[in-house]
Amino acid sequence: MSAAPERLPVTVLTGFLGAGKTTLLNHLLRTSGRRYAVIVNEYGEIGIDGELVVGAEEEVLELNNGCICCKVRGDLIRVVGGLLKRRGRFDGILIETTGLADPAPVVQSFMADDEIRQSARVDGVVCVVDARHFLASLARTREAGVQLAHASCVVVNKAELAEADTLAAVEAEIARLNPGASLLRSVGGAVPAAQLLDQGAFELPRLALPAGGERYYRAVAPGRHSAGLECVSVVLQRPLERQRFLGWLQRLVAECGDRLLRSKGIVALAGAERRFVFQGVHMMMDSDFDRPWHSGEARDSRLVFIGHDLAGLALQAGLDACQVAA
Amino acid sequence: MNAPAAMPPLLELLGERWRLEVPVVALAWARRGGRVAFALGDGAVALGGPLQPRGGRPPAVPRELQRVPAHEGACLALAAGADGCFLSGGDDGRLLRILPPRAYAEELARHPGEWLDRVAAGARGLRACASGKRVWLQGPELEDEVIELALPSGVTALAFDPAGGRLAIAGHGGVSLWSAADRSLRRLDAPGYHRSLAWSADGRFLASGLQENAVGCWRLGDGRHFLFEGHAGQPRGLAFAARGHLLAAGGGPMVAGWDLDQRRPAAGRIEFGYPSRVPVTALAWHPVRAVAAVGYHNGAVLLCRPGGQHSSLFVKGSGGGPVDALAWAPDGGALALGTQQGEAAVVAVPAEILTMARAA
Repeated sequence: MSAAPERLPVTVLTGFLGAGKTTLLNHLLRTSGRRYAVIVNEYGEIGIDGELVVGAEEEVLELNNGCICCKVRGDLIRVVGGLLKRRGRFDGILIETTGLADPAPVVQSFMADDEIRQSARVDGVVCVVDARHFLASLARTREAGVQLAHASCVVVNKAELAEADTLAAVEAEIARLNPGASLLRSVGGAVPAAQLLDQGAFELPRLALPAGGERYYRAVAPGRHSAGLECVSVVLQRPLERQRFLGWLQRLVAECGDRLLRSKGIVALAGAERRFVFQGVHMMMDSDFDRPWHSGEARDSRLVFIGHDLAGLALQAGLDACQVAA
Repeated sequence: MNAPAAMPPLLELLGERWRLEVPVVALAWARRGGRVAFALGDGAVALGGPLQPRGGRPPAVPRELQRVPAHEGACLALAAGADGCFLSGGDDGRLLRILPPRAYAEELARHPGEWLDRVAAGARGLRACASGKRVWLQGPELEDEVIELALPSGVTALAFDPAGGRLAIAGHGGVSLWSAADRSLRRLDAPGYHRSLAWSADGRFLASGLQENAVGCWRLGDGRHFLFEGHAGQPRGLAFAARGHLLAAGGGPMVAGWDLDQRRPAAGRIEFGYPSRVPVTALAWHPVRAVAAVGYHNGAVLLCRPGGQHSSLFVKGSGGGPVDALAWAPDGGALALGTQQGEAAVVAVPAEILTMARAA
């Protein structure tokens, strides 16, 4: 079998209208040194500098698989499918979504569609926020929190226009609600392209979770800023019993996939020499046994869940019950 | 998944192959005249043939392909027109008619800023192309009129029935059926995201491949809908056999088949093909015999017959990327294939080989 060509990296740009998505997009096109095909769902006031720019009307489609949270984007499946036919003429795809778009169907399109999954991969979801308005958006709208939850990287734009304490509060809130995302500050969308590209955010072997330290269970309850969005980080010292844990995880995403926006984990299963790694968007889940545990590496399990009303899911109790007896 | 040493793949013996360096997007055989066209990712259409009949021996495959510059970006769709020509759609918004042997591309329609990514041509001369939620129809029987249809969701597939008077249009939540007789647009509702279409040879059944790893099929006479769930992947290469109502689909490592003439087609599901580890990406039934050409994700192409695990014959070994395009010449004497990594090939398939495939 001949070597399969590398899957084409796709970077998704989300963020509210006016946050600076297009400015960031143009910055990437100018400075990344790569050739990009750009898919745009709405044209703003600023033009796009790319050579290959495709406009597509957002089309969110529910899949008929018994799960209301399994959605794909018909427009992206179509346009990405078409772009893949001219392979070799660009190095990657940038998708600029509309201001209120839910990133989940975008990412799920690349997970659910066999043909696209074989040839392309989401490299990262970049959420651009306006440093001055982000906390208000987060408090007032569900969309701001959803975009933040799906981000692998958050760019806090227009940093120069915000007061220092506002900026600090924005960054603290982002870190609280999505501790796995990288955080960049920018003025006029100018961030080093290298920090936005090659994230591999949805590739299991590259999954990284912030070290839990000694904290055992940390739930960020919905604050006055976050419109019901919560983040639960769990660190478990004892290995998990394989069947119990896999059954629990499967039930969790099947029954509560609509509330669960993102889930990620690096798990020590009892008796396994390799790390068990998973990451999911709503009910769609990727999981695999990854590299062996290094000798001397702490074999703890680290899991992060971001979603709405997570308190009711009894994540801590469920996971506790999966641990092997002390 | 390589051919046994005893028997080289048929392509090595009776075929011609080309390395085109750009993906083969689609291929089609002209309805008459023995020519084949490959639509390419660089916007060109490459013409091959005509096949030279050699009195009882397999036809000779000409060495050269003729490249016709067609679209500015990529070709996105290709169909065989009623009159021996080819129709191609591209991301430059143009629908072209390509006439062999002059290799001249004539513009039939232009929709600036649109991607014409679905094209179909009917036996009576009707032509259809789609972009997004719109379909345009034209043809001799409509004279100069262009009919524009607005669909409820993005169009994923177009297919004329074999008689050429009805056009099926696939999308989310069902399939729409346009009829030339009364110019009506009828909706066949069925939940799910319909991504591909296939008509039975007699036009009585219309099947659709669903994103949700399922295959659906309407019996148009009484409107009954059959749903075959639990497919091993997204259906690829959905097609009815030339005779009867055996429907087959790739997408999984084996071809799955359902005989719609059975009382309970879902219960009579069959599997055939080479027991492989890679999915079937393309499938084409022979126009007369109960043999299917089956293309795989690793580039291999086999002739397979339903009703036996071991009745497979290699047309091409693995390599060259996933087989995305596969079609028989209208007389069944040759097979053309194209891969994602730019391999195109035409193979003469003698009638004796098809009989052998049965005996093996």
